[in-house]
Amino acid sequence: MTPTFFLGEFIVLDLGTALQVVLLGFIGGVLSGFIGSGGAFFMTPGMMNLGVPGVIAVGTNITHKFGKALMGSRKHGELGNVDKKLGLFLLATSFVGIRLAVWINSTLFGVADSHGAKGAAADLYISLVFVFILSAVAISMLRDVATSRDDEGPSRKIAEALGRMRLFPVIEFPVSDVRVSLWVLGLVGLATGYLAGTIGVGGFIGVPAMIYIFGVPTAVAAGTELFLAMFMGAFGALNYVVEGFVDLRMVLLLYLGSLLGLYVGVYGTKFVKEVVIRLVTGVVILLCVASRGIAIPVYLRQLGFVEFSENWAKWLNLLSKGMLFIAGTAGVTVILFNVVKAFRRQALIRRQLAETAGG
Amino acid sequence: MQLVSVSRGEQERGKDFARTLAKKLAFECLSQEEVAELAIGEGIAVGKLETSVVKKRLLTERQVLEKEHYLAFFTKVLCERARASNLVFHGRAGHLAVPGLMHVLRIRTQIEAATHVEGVMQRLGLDRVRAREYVEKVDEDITRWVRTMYNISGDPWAGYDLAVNLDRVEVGGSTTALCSFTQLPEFQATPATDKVLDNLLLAARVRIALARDERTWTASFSVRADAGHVTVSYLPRDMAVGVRAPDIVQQVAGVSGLTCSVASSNILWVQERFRAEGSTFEAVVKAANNWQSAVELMKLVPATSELSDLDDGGDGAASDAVKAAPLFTVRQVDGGIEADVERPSDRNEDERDFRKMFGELNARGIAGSASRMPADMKRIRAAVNRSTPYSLVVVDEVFLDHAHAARTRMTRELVGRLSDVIRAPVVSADDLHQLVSTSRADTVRMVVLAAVVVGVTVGVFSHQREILEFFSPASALAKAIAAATLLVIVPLFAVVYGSLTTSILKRFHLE
Repeated sequence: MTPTFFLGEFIVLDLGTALQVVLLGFIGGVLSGFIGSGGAFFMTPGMMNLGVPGVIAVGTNITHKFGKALMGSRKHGELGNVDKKLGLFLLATSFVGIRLAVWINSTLFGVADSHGAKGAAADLYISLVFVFILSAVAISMLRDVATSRDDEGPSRKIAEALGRMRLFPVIEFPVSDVRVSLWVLGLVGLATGYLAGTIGVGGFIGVPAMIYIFGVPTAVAAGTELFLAMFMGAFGALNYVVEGFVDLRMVLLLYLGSLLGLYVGVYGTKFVKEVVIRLVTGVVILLCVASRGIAIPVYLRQLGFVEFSENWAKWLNLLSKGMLFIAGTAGVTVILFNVVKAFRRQALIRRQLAETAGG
Repeated sequence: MQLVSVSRGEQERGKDFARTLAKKLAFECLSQEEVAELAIGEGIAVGKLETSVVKKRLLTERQVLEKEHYLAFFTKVLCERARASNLVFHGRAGHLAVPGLMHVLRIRTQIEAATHVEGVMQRLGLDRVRAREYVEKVDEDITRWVRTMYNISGDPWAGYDLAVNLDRVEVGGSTTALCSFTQLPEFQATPATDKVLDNLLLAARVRIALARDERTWTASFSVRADAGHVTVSYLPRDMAVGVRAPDIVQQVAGVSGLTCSVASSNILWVQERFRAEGSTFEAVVKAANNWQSAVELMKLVPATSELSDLDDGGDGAASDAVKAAPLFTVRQVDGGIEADVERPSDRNEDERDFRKMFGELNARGIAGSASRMPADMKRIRAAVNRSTPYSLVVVDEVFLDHAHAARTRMTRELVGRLSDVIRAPVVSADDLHQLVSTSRADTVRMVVLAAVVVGVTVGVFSHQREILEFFSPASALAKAIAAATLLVIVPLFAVVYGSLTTSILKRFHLE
């Protein structure tokens, strides 16, 4: 079904579509709480599958992320997991990255396709970046699961090599207990900002970079990323709203689902082993990537690069949407199944303990 | 027996100092390196663990288990040696492996940085710059090791009884002077310290038994012991493995009773008088059920009391009772901690209430551990196990024999000290009630939040076109207004809806 638009760019939200957006938010929230990421890897393509132009999906998602990070960052801050100094250094160049991403997305959004309609070029670009980056993330996660040896943690070869290079000036971060070259900080900030601005998933670069390149402890990396996401989200939201690419209706609908889902996801981590979390994450991301990959030929057709029938395009869209739905619901089902199973088992064990104590 | 722990600021002279001191005192001497060798013999990959810690690698799940195994092994070796004879241990902050053992004399040896660097230059043939870098790196690595292994966020080298600068005083002279120092009453073993030592040793033996057994080595366990009664706690995700723990624990010599609990975290409840009928008890139980936590009771007794007055340990018959018991061997005849033996303290009403409380927790499957602690700030703080994942600390009705003003001040000070060592909220009973119960004000608040959320949502969806036009600005002024509005509305809605979600989940005990 082809969506109808308000003001040429914003989809008309009937009750069915609104509920689908809430569901997107809920699934994204559950995955986000479970994995510890922002959930944009599911919500951005999900909105695009509903017919939302890619630029608006990214702008809406980055705005949604801003409020959510604000709450998460506060909790991490209370636990002392935020390295504000590191966050501020990364922020400086991340703003440049966000600005660059917004400029590219907005410019591409203005390119008309073979039928004179706008948005396909930006959709194609966003999908390509999404597929490229998230394939690498998912493959690396699944490879970790498949090949990880129990006696080895993540490699610190990059961090050590960069440390030996001593690229002046080197900044010391006492909270994370690391020393990092200003140049490396600048590059990582730029890349994080660019990806957050382009596809809304800066955390997938920022967190591994902090752990593997800077050598920051995991908890501090996650907390600092949320701190960073709060400001990057605010800056990204500002940049997208002045271009007219933020759909406030969808931001609110996403919140209705995501904040509830977030609790369920976080709850799930209590009961599931880390290796299962990584496995579920890797598979879900890979399915999201496949879903986006299937949609790419449709954008290529809209831009006149390839030709196939309208019917095929509809099937590909449907397949893309179906695959994303399967990815999300399968991931959430696995999490909920584990939570319910563990919850019942725990209740049983506590009952047994109580009976033994009483008897 | 006496225990002296020497933390070596520089290895060679530190070793020399410790050995000389041990010789003059006629104490046994044990080094970090000897413990590491024994641990390797135990099957612990100490080298890989050390490499991961000092190179700041993320510890794998297996390494986290090896860390637990190593710490338990270290504690066991120290306790066994210290129980057999007076002991001088030298290495890295050995006193941290025996938390709560108050008579340990903690000494830190140091030398001037320049001397240290020169020593390294001579020993390793390095130039001055490289030798200084080497010294700094080694210091960093050792500090990181101590912080990681014992979960210390502050300065791990603070809190020593003595720091000896071996550049200023010779080993011979300083050790001679220290021989008198070790004779101070603060560093003598007492029945109370023997009790703590026995508890630490039994807990360590149980943890090692669980690590050695192929049925349970894959799970993380937190083990406490109190006069033969052992409390084993494991995470919900390790339930499948954890249920096998009782079979293994009951085989460990010295175990006279066992409590098992499944918990993601612990709630520490510090109080002088425990009443199972009180509303605070219900609030603690509710919090424990909501957060999958086990409740750890810490009963404060007057600072002048000796722990040995309260605990007399288990006996052989008790061990047999455990062996004959079924899967979850919880020996709680009267809901108490060590129930078989009639003791003077049994007649004490407070003591009976304390046991009853533990029994009630046990009957609900949320019993963590129970301990008695003299109401002394330093001892309470030292007894806290930093590696236990606490979710909450409840402090209520403490220092009851003091006047109101003094009690308030001391309670505040205790809260502050506990906050320093535990990364969890430290609250009073009143705060706890607010945290877990839903009052009328909470209901009103929830209704107001729901009304705001519904109002905003309905408002937005009944004015979609206007709102989208507002957020598609054309002029510079309109853009500025749209941006400012967005930056206010979005976080406000997130906070309001987030609070509403929390309130709703709290009603369903899912926060």
